[in-house]
Amino acid sequence: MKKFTIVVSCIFILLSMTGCWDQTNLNKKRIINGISFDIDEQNPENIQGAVRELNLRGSGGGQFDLSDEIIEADGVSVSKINNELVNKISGDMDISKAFLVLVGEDLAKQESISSLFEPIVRSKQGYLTSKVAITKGKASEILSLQISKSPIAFYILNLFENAEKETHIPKANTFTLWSEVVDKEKDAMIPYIQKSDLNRVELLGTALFKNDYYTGEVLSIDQTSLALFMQGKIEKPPVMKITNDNEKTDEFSVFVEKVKQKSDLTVDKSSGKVQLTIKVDLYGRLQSLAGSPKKVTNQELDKKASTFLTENAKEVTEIIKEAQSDILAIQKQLNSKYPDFLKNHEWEKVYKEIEITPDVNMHIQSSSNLK
Amino acid sequence: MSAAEPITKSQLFLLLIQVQIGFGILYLPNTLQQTAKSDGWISIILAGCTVQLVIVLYWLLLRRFPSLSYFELTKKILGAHLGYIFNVIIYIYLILTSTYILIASSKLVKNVLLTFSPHWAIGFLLLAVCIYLCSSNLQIIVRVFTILSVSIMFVILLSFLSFSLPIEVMNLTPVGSSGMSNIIKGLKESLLALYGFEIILFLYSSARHKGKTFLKVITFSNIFVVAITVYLTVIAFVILNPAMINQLKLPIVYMFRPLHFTMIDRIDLIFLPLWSIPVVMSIVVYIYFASHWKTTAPKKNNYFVYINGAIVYVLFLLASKSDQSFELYAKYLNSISYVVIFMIPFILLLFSYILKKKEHPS
Repeated sequence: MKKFTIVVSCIFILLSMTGCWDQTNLNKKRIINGISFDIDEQNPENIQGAVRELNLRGSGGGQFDLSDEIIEADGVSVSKINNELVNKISGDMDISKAFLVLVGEDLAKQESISSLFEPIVRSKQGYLTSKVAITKGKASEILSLQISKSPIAFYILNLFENAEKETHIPKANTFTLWSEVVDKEKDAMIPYIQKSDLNRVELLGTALFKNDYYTGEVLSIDQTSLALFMQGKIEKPPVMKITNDNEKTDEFSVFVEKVKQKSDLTVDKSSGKVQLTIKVDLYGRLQSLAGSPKKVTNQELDKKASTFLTENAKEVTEIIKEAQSDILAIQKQLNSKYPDFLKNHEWEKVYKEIEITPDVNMHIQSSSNLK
Repeated sequence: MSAAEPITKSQLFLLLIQVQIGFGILYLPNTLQQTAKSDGWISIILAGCTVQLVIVLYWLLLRRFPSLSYFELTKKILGAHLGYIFNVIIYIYLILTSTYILIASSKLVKNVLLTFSPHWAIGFLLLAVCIYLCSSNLQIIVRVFTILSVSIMFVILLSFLSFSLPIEVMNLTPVGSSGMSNIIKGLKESLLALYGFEIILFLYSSARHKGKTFLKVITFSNIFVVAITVYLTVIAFVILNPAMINQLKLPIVYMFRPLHFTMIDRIDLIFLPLWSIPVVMSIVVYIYFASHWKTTAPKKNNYFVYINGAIVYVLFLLASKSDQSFELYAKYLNSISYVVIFMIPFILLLFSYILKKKEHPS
């Protein structure tokens, strides 16, 4: 009797081993490593989606053949495109390793970004750390580039990771984009890339968002660095080059090693005027100086750099105000400090009239190897 | 049961925190977002204080009858007939709670981990382990829980990883903006997440240290659970913004998803199984006590354990697994739990004082 029970329960447990239902074989998987979305040129109502799929085929002896191809489909929504792609790909489409999502600029202006990303965020498989970018021109053109043997997604991934390390672009992925788009109190900024003449991918800067849509305004890489400094979101001391190129003979550049940011938001209760002062202190060492050995003191260089950077930071604030893109999360600060203020005032109007005063101070602490 | 070794202080502590930590916490930021919003952590602390008050009352009741099990205690205070009715209600509560935990865990495993596996298989595998453990004695169960507490350690360690995500402390300010009435509403929700402490009622007679030491241990375990709940909720609020928490079913699982490391991805898929271990194992405790209300002879109990296991499995299969019916189920269970967790112990306490009933040391 005891043996019988054991045998029966063993059979039952074997049958119910849950792995059986959820297993997929690697050779049947078609791993997607990049996704792009564009406007369909024939039918502007439609979205054109493309995926770069990786095909793994065992060629015997533990070796695998890799081939990677681009597949396109179009439809009114992302889930429609997904359905169509499933029928075009031989095998199980697996998006859990889609490292890159590119959105063409025309589509980003017209279609809400959350409707594009919603299926990815909702699904169990969706990869939330995939890098996102807006492309100048068509996104599928970049995705279909063949630069080296490895897929283009990895090439762009490395490009982004390096630029993030240098504080040239913000750390943006599907998760941060989704969280900033959903959050009404803050707007998103994500990398902006283009296909260069030599069929390479080039980073141009960052694209500014307003709520769900791309505004069409772009910050250059230098401006993005300043914007990131003003956000005060620096996890590691960034090593960043700032070049003073007002006059060729005066040019010098500084490695920034430490950044301190302090912002102060005040509301004048009677006039309803909002003022934001952002003080950024940069600490670094001299990287290059025209006309070396130097005849100027560090203090003079500090002063020059500070005026130049403050000027540039003002430009940045003008651009984001123009684009109505609240990347500095001013609305959040306002709601946190003056919870009742926005109940009586319309945010759009407040943001138009807001006075942002950036104050960037450079502190050169060393002149490296040369005196 | 009395033949087995009594439970030590540390064992009691580890058992209690694991029974009290449940799936409720994973949903909590989302439910709090509907009421107390970013002040949810205040609600949780207040709920923790309420629980503390209740367990002190439990302790006042239990210390009058140090060697009686809870089922014997009801009969002793209220007489055989009324005590029997109360025991049946408590039994039903224990069985329904086990079923509820089983449904919740199988739903979670299916939704997040094994999408294509059927419910009956997931539920069976989860329950089979529990029933096997249940058929042994309390001492063994407690020892298993002691080992399993490592998983809680891992969960806490994993949660440190989430600090590498962008953090927005401004999501928590201004403190107290949602108003007192919303915070009180949030208290009710948070209380649900802290259920599990009622198991104290059944444990007193088996504990080695009674009296004030017992109260100290249960207080510490309550503080620990409340601290973990507050900690995880606050992290969820600063990492995910309020609008996002509003959309997410399981904010605390989801916040591990964007973590990305060179060696490892999808931390949420590691977090959830680790979290499920103590939660699923708390079924063991519920079924164990449900099976020990009639008799204390160890041999016969196994028989009841299998019957109760079968009842739980049948109820689990019968229950519809849709989100709506699950919510309805939770609502009904909630009303029974008010009776069992709050009303019955208070009635007992009141009567034991009025009738001056007390166990005489023999």
